[in-house]
Parts: sequence; C-alpha cells; structure tokens
Amino acid sequence: MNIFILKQIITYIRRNFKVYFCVVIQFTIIIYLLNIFLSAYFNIKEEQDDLEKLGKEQEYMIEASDPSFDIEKFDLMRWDDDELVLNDDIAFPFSEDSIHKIEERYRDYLFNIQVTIELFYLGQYAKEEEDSLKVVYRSDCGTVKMSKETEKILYDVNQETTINSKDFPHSLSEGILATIQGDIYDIEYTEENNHTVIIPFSAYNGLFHKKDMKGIILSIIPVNDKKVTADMLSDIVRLLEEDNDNEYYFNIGNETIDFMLNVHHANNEVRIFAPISGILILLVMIGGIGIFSLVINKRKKEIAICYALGECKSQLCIKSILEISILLVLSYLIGILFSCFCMLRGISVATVEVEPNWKSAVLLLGIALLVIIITVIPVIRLIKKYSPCEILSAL
Amino acid sequence: MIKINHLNKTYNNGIKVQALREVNLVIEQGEFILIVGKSGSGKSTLLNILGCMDGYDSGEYLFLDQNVKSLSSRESAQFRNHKVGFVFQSFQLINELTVGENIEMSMGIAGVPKNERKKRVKDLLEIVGLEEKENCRPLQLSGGQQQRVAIARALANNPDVLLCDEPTGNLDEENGIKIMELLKELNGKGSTIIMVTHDLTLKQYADRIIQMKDGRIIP
Repeated sequence: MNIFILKQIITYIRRNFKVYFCVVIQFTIIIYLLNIFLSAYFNIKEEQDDLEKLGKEQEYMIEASDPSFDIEKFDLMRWDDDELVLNDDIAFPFSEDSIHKIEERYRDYLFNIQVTIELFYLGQYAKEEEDSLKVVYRSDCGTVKMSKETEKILYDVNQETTINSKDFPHSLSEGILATIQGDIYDIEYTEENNHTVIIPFSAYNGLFHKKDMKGIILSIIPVNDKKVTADMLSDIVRLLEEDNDNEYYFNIGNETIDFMLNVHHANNEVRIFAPISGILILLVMIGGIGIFSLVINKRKKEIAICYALGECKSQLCIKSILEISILLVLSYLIGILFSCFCMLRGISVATVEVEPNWKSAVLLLGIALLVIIITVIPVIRLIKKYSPCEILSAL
Repeated sequence: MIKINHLNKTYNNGIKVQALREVNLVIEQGEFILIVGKSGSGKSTLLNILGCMDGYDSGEYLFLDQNVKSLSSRESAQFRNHKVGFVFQSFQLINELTVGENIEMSMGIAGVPKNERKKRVKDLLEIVGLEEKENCRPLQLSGGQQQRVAIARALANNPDVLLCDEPTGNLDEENGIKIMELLKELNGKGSTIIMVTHDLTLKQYADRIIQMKDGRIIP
C-alpha cells in the first residue's frame, strides 16, 4: 500500500464528500446515542450487581401486626371472677407450623424471627425503647448471646415479676438457656448492653405474648446465589395469612419494598435500553451496506480502468475496505468523544444518571468493526463479480 | 516477442459462444499490427487476452518467452501495469481527475515517486502535443485530445506493447488521422502496437494486417 493509493482513497472521499458527510453525521449520531444508551445499560447493570450483592446481605422483612391491638390500652392485669390475674393472652402470627411450612418450601433460605418484648413496670407499659428487649431467633448462630444486664432483666421474666412467661418461653440458669422442648444452649455474654438476646433458630417455638405484637418480624436471608423475589415474599405472606385465618396482617417492610422497587426499576430500564441499542445497531448496518454498495456501484467504470492499468481485484477491494473503514472509524471517534464529553457534563436518560463507561466504548469499537466487516462484504462481492472487459466494452 | 499457439476461448453466459478457435500468432518487437474483422469476429477478445484482461481456456500465450497463464492475479496486474498499455475506443478517462492525474495513475500504481511522475507526465504531454492541458479535466477537451491523453496514459510506464481497441472509433476523420499518425510516430520510435479495428482504410499505417472471422485468423 503506497502513498499514491492512500491519496486515491482520500480523493474518493473528497469526491463523494456530500454523501459521505451525511453518512459520517448519521453514524456519529448513532454512535453518540449508542454510547449513551450502552453506558446507561452498563451503569444500571453495575447498580443491579451492587443490588444483588446487597441483596445477598439484605434481610427481607415481613412484619406481623394485629390491627385490633393497641398496646397503650393493654392491661397487664385482668379480673378473673374476683381475682386479679396476669393477662397472658397468646398470639401466634409466626407459629411453629407456619415456619416449618415456609422452611420446607424454601429450603435454600435462612430465616430469622425478631420479637420485641415490651416491658411493663408495675402493670403499666414502659414506653421507652430502653425498656424493651429484642429477642432474635437467628439461623446463623449456635449459641445464645446477650449481655449480663439483659440476662438480669430476663431473670425477672423468669421470676414472673414484671411480665408473662410467654414473653420469653425459655428458662435461664447459670450460663445455660433451656427450651420448653428440653434443648440446652450455652450463653455467650457480650460486653455491649444493647437489650438484645440472640438465640439459635432451632429454639424457636412460636410463642408470643399478645402485648408484643408490635414488633414481630420474620426476616428471609438468601443463601449463595439465591435471590428473593417479590413473588416469593407474596407467597410467604399468603401462606402466613392462610395459616392464621387472616387474623393478622403481614406486611412487607418499607425498606424491603424500597429495595425491591429499585431492583424492579433497574430491570425495567435494562429492558428498555437493550432493544433500543439493538435497533440502532441494525440501522447502522443496513444504512452502511446500502450506501457503500451504491457508491461502489457508481464507481464501476473507474474500478475497471484501474484494473486495466494494473490493479488486481484484491487491491481494489482493499481500497474500498480502507475507504469504508476510515469513514466509520472517524464516526466512531467523533461519536465516542462527543458522547463522553456530554456525559461528563451531566446527562441522564429516563431516571438514570449516565456516566462514561469503558465497556461501552470497547463494545462499540467491536460493533464498529463488525459493521465495517458486514458493510464491506457485499462491496467485495460486487467488485469480485465485476468483469472489467464487459464494463469497458459496454461504456 | 509474442507467441500464441492454438488459443481457444469460449464464453458461457447461458449460451456457449466460442470467441476464439485455434488462434496461432507471432508478433515481433517493433511491429505495427492491425487486427481487422467484423463485429463478433473475436478481435477484442484476442486483445483482452493479449493484455491479461481476460483468460483463455486452452492453448499457449508466451510474452517474451514467459507463459502468461502461469501468472497469479497479482503478477497479471503487474503485467498490465508494466508490460502493456491500453487505449480504448471510448478513451476511458476519469472525468473527476485532471489530465495530469489521469496520466500518472498507472505510475502511481507502480509506486513511482511523485517527482518522477510529474516529470514523466510533462514529457508524455509533450509527446502527444498537449503540454498546456495538464490541469484541464477530460470533459474540457475534444475527442481527439482525450484520445491523445489516453495514449499518453498508456505510455506512462514504458510498456513493451500498446494495445489499442478501436482508438479512432469515436472520432471524426480528421482526428482519427491525427491519432493514427501519432501511433505511427510512436511505432517509429520503437513501440510495438497491436490495434484492433473494423476500418480497413487504416491498413496503410500497419506493417501487417491480421484478418479474423468467426474466432479464427484467416491466413
């Protein structure tokens, strides 16, 4: 390839400047749009991956509540005939049976249940947060964990002085917790006094006091590559409602709803951008094939003359390939630079803030090369098909 | 210089047409050969084969003792670039290029440096008498002038043979004569010229006349 041939190619481009200018503008705009859409797509995918990673650590929460219950009006004591006795009504929103059914159906997930035990002093609801205890039944622990101060409050429970034994249906003794079923767990004492008791999930027996309905939460934790979907949460809620004869409300937590909405939006946006990008790529290919085939066809006579003057068909093909490549690479560079500039200045598509993404630039380079290949194939076939003798004798 | 033995060529575009049948020909260096015959006699086919523009089915074509059939497509292209020069009936100049750019095309393909090309263009334009037309476009010239530019282009790489396919076919009588005189002059300087025509009045310019009919050379 000598400089004369390169000069010839530039002459061809200059000669067809009007057509090629339109072609370059068209391809540049398409590359510009494609870069923005593909960058948005990759930005969202990264966000999706982050959400997925977060999702693996996310605790998807279902909260149980009794709409008819008002803790402020609840009396810890009640009259039974002439006797004042403890009000020990039981609630079963997350009964053992329900939890077993859920565990059976969703074997690849871990479950935690958190109960907030509301403390009553002298029969009255304590109200302050530090006067409540959180009891969390966790699938991922094997020992009981609590501080010594928390254990002291629980001893009160066991002595039945302040609250009912249904609040905390296990017994404590010298560093050991025993369940109703007779299982024994060691207690690991923590330094931090956060009014929280962590108990292995196997100790869970589904017993709650009615006054503790305010803070009963079931958490679902995905394991390995499993995901929690909205359908799964709906299914669990439906199962709980059926098992409890619709006596309780089971609400998916706000944080959970927000998180799942983000994932849902991200999925929708990916679904919008992907086909748009695909259509634009198709337009580029079809446009390229049409325009360049037309230009080469108009140049039949010159191709035949060049053949007669001493160029072989492969050299003629290479000239055409270079001509097309120069135009498309120029369009690519201008489109990429301009779109990156706009993205750095701040641009958003739908609700997505778009930032330049190297994956998009690399993918577009691959697409540009693919477009070059697909565009030159019909052009090469045209040139190979030409019979210079026939062309020159016909003119 | 050129030896053709038992050359055969058949075109097959749906219908088989045998364009050349058992053609035998010897052409010496410096000869001015006129190939005459009616339309369809195979003259242009023979010229195209001589210039490596087209292939043949059987026989032998030796150019300076080299078998042309054994050339690859790249070698054939180099053959067309260096060994032969074509002059066509319709001039076949590129209208978007200047006269000078048209002439230097085959030199550019050959990789001749720019300075040398420019100098050679001036020399060739002097030979054909169009020195002042270097920067004109072909459409600004008369038919005769365009044909002279085509001849200059054909001579650009000092070919061994000039192949002319009806060079006066699109010209009036006066311009036709001028072209023939130019070709005769070039022949006088040593160029081998093989010219195809159906115009028998041009035979006075040739050293030898070869008559063709139905793809054969009539002895």
